[in-house]
Amino acid sequence: MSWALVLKKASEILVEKDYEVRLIIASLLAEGHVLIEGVPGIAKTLTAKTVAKLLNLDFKRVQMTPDLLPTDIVGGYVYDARQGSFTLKKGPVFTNVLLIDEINRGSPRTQSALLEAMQERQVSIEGQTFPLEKPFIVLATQNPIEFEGVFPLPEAQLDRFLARIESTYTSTEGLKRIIKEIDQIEEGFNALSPVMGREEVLESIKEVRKVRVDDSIYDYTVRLVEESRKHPAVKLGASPRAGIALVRLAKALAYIDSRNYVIPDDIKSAAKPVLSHRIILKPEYEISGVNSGKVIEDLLASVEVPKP
Amino acid sequence: MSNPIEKVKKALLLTLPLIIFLTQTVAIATEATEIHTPDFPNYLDMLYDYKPGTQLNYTEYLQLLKEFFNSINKGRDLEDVMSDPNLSKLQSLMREGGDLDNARKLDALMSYSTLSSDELIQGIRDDELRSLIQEAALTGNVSNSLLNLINEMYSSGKISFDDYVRALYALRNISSDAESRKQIDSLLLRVLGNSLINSSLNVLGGSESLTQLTDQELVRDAVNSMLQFLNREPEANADFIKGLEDLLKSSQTSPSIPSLKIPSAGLALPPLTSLSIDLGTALPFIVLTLALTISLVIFLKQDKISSALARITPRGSRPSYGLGNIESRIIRTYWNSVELLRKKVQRSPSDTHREYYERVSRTLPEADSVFRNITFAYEKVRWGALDESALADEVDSNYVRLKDLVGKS
Ligand SMILES: Nc1ncnc2c1ncn2[C@@H]1O[C@H](COP(=O)(O)OP(=O)(O)O)[C@@H](O)[C@H]1O
Ligand SMILES: [Mg+2]
Repeated sequence: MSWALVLKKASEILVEKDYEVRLIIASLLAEGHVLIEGVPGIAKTLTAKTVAKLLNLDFKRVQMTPDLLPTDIVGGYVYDARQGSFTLKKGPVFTNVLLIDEINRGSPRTQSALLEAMQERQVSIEGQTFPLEKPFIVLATQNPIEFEGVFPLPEAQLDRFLARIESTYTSTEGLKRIIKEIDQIEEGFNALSPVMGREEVLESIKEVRKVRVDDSIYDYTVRLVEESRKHPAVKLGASPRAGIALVRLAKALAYIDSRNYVIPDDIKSAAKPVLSHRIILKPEYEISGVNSGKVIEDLLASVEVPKP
Repeated sequence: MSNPIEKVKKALLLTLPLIIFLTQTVAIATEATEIHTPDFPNYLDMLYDYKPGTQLNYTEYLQLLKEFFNSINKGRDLEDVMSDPNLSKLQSLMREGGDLDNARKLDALMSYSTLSSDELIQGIRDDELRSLIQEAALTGNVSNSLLNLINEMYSSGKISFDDYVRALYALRNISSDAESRKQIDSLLLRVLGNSLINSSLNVLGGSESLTQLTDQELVRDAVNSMLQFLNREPEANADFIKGLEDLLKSSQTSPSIPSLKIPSAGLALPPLTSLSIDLGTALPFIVLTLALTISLVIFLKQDKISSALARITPRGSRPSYGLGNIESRIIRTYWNSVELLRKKVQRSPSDTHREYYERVSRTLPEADSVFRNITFAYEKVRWGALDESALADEVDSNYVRLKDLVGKS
């Protein structure tokens, strides 16, 4: 199973999106969901579709709007006039890769139905429980908070996302390439054929669980979590769940890198995507321009890596 | 008491506590790796390295191994062997048993058999190897010296397993001459067999399930079929195989030995990556390991002594490197190298080994290749718990070169 090949194929279409693709794949293999933050038009949709296509996974997309109802996501019984009875119509949540565009524009009720499905990996419709597909990953995009007309996700619910990716504009050269090669990019995407399938993804998920974690890696993780609570700018530091998520993502990152053991670098790579939405800053620091990314950099630069 | 067997048994029992005490002491001693000759497998502590019980079905695994090796031993075609559904089954059992490395190797062996030579050549990473194979493709001629060269490249670690298998399959497609095809086939079969045997040692090794298996005959049959496969290898040393077989036989007749317990060790066989492997050097270790294990099993049967043993044996709490109790030679060499380099390139305590290597490579490019080798060997041993015997010599010589380099600049 060549995950390197998946990354390579994706990079032939997506310009400067290696970081995003790697994290999305790692989250998929760690059975977590991803929150992608960024302005419109920076290939968030294209990235999600490309990953799904390369892995031959079923893909669905939902554009969140304030009038969207929970049943629009989960599904429900609809009246079938011809048969004169109610039939079950499963919602878009029954898929492998679910892209929720602009999650922060959905009503809180719809958001929470989605978040619950993400957590439970099953939904109940009229009292009946249906398990979701395997694998199942939600890629939710979110505009930066300053955009208007949004319902920001409650901080406690952000924990449902294993990783948060801040997606940014490409470099100047990257932008030029996109503009110049847009036809090839679009054709390339249409002609894209899968390099693996659902079975292999499930197999890899199993293998990721077996990736070796040296005991001192756990110690290192614990230190990072505990130190995050002591940082002067932090109001609420990382939770135990954040520590668990760190190791889970690190194992998947190691696996994609063709290793069956975690190194401290994996924890460091996982730190920003895992912790940035789980650390809440004191307002006075936030105003003065400190962000959680900066706090995490401080942490990584101050906590000792395991010796020997 | 005049019964000679009784006498031997008694003598064995009397000396065993001493042997075991000594081997324990040696295994625990920090300097253990210094005392051993290079490459001497440090398997003693592996006897205590019990794996957590997996859900693996050992009976099925052994049965499959037995059947599969028996079928190879009968001289099947390579195509036949590679497309055997039992091979895929074995592979998934290997995965379940936690041996991802060898399972991946089987992936390569099975999937590359269906690729065209062009596809195979394109995927070869090593430039030199690729051009060698491309040349052969042009002439359609696969010489013995080319095969030897490729074997040499692989056994010296210059090319990866993946490249090696690709090259062999590519040559197999290119070659028009039946004799060289046959030779390539036997090389591929050997790689396959070695992966399976190594894997069986990894998967079954140290597992208590083997002793619990009621079907002892199956254990022996499976081991025998593997031995027979090794026997087909021309360079295998017949004497040692004979010795091993004798040992097996004696274990069968002695009622006090519950089973053959194969110690965990990808290293009981030298990492069969080295193809020019001399079984003569590998088998003494197997024999020794088996002998020790069997002795241990007899010994531990003696309840009274085993409770005494429990006091001196840190079973189940094998010291981890993190605790600094056992430091491997490579880990120590790594930190010695860091100590040397620190005068030229600063290291912060929050730097990982890879981050530090990047910095060294930037500020002291002349040390790049030497320190890269040491760093990545350290990584594999320290974080991947890889057996270090295969890497130790190279790391040592790189350390000497590093001392030289740092001294000069
Ligand atoms: N980094 C990029 N690599 C390749 N194409 C890009 C990139 N950024 C933008 N594009 C182009 O812009 C289009 C818009 O991207 P889209 O995925 O709809 O953005 P978003 O979902 O972030 O709003 C893409 O379909 C693609 O043609
Ligand atoms: Mg979009």
